[in-house]
This record gives sequence, structure tokens and C-alpha cells, in this order.
Amino acid sequence: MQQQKLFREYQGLIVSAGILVVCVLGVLLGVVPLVRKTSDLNKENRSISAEVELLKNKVSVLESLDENAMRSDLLILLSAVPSDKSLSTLLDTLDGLTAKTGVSSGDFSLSKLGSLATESAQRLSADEKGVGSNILPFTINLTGRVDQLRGFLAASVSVRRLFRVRTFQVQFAKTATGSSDMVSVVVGMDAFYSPIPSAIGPVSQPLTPLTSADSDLIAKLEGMQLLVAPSSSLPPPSAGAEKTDPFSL
Amino acid sequence: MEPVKKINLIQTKFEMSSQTGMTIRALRKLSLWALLLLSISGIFVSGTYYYMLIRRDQLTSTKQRLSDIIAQNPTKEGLLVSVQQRSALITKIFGVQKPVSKVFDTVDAFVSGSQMSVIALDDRNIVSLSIHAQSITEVISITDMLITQAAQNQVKAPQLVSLTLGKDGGVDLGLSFTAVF
Repeated sequence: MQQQKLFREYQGLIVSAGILVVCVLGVLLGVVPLVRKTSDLNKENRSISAEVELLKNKVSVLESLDENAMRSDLLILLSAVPSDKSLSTLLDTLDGLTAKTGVSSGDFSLSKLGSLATESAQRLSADEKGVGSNILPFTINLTGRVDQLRGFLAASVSVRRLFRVRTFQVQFAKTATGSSDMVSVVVGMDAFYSPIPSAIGPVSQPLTPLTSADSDLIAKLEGMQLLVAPSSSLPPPSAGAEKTDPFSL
Repeated sequence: MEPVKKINLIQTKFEMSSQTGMTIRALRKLSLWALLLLSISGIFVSGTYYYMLIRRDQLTSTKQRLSDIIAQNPTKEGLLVSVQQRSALITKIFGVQKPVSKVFDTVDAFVSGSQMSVIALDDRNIVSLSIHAQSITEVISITDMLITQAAQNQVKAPQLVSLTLGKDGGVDLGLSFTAVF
């Protein structure tokens, strides 16, 4: 009897306290976890949003590309630094250089020709790592006048495909009055080659458009004399059919 | 007969102190405010959560659409990546090419062609010269010119490697210097 009365008197207090407890529980069990989930979702959305921006940018870059122009640019670049040793273009270019400058070529030797390993399995030397390309060293014996030799050395670093003169030894021919204008020379040179990548990165990998430096470089290479016939003409663009190797020309 | 007056000693009404009453009223107010706040925050947080869910779905769908577009253009992407990689590579190669014909210009400045026997360039850019001079005077002239070239930073580290005086008064001279490209 007494308890009932007490309950009746403190009913308001009990209800208020009950509401407070419910509120506290509601905050702890409902609002706080939901805030956490919302926060996590917000982070996730930001991450996806950044990816979407990146992909939009990538799509925009891809849509702005002219596939034929890119093929043409790549062919120009490959004529300077082919994807393999390409001995034919190496020899043709040397022939073209000697013919252009008037020197006579003699012995020619390659010091790193045959490798049983695939290109990707080959270990790059420190020099190759520095350049970022495979190097094919060779030596060539030349004879001619000094001015012709100078022309050869000057022209050898200004033609496609790209060469580097590493060493040379010029021997002046002797005459009764001293050295003649005729010289024989052994030139140590490097040719460069680098395989084309066989796989593209993941979809999320960012893609930047060609810079003006890239365009200038391609224009510069295009202006450099090509002493061999272009290895391949432009293939027609693939219409819809997907290629297995995206880098294939 | 006068009725007997009875006294009920049991309290029929529970008396609360004024302080307790105030506490109860305050608690009631507090509980109402708490309920209000819980409702508002619940609505707000739930709304935000569902907005985020919808936004995530939209973004995921956009991402998928864009990924599909990219996946449909592997050739273009491959060409662009190849062109960019090869451009970077060729830029590096241009950086390591040496204009070696410049060595002849440098040597011409102090040795005439008829005096030259051998000019050699090694892969450390060291130029070695074998020269045949007719006299010591010519040797002095050659070395003086070489020192002048070094002073003008046209060459570096000039060295007299050998000097042989012949019976006829001619001098075979070995010089070296580091070429500056």
C-alpha cells in the first residue's frame, strides 16, 4: 500500500528518469554508431570521389587523343630508339652516315650481340640503368679525310636512330713532310634500344596528356635525318575490335 | 452521546520537500529536452547517413561507367604510355650524347694537322694526343696554348704525358686533357 503510494507520488520522476535513460541508450546505441558509420561512409565517398575525378580526367585525356597521330608519333620515336636491337637499322644508318660524310667504313664489330635471355630477363649495366635503356655497343673502323671524319662524328649524334660516340682513336697517316690529311679511326659507339612495355597499368593509374616537351621532342626527332626506310607504315585504326596487346602497332 | 473523535496517524498524502519537487521538475524538463535532442540528432544523422549511402551508390556507378570507357580504349592508353615512356627515355639519351667532334676544334686551336699523330678519346672524356713537333720551340708553343685553353675552361686537367727528343731535333710529345662538352 505504502509502495503504491510512493510510486504514485514519484511517477513523474521515474518517467523522466526512464526517458533520460532511453535517450542515453539511444545516443550510445543509435546515434554514435550511426555517426561513425556516416563518417566512414564520408571517407569512402571522398576516396571514390577522388578516383572518379581521376577517371574522368583519364577519360578526357583518352577522348582527346588521336589514335593515328599517336601511332605516327610512336613510329617516329621507335625509329630513334627501336624496341629491339634492330641490326638492320643500325647497319643501314651507319651505311647512310658513311655515304653522307664520305668516309670509308672498314671492320665493324658488335660486342654484346647475342643473348639467350629475353630482353626483360637481361640485367642492365650501371650505364644502362643510368640511361634507362638497353645499350648495344659496337666499334667501327673508318678511313677518310679529317674533315670527313669530323662530319661523321658530328652527324652520328644528329640522325635517327640515336647513337652515342663513346671513344675514338684517330691515327694520322704519315708522309715525308709530316702527317697527311688522311686518317684512320676506330670509333667506339653505342646504339640504344628499349622494349615496348607489354602491359598497361590498372584502370586507376593516372594518365597525363602529352606535354609540350614531348611534342617538341617528337618534332625534333622528326626533323632529324632518317637514313633508313621507315620500318612499317601506319596500320589502319582498329575499329571496335579489341586487341590482345594494347601496345601492338 | 458525543461521538468519539478518531485520529488517523497514517499519512494519507506523501509530503515532498520543495527542493525535491524542483529536482523532479528540472529532471522532467531535462528529459524532454534530451528526447527532443535525440529525435533531432537521430533525424539529422539518419538523413546524412542515407544521403551518403545514395551518394556512394551514385559515385560507384559513375566510377564503373568511367572504368568501362577506359577499358574499351586500351590501345589509346597503350600508345600514350609508350610515347611518354619513350620520350622520357630519348630525353635521357640526348643528355648522354657527347658532341665529340668538338674535340677536333679544341685540338686545332693549338696543334696543326701536320703535327698530329694520334688523337684518342676514352669513355672518361680524356683526350690523349701524340704529337710530332719539329722543335722545342713548337713544343713550348703547343703547351702554352694548351695552358691557355685550360685557363679559359675549354679543357680540364692538361698533362704532359711524355716527351722524347729525336736525333733530328724533332720532339715526340704525349699530352692529355679532359674534354669539356
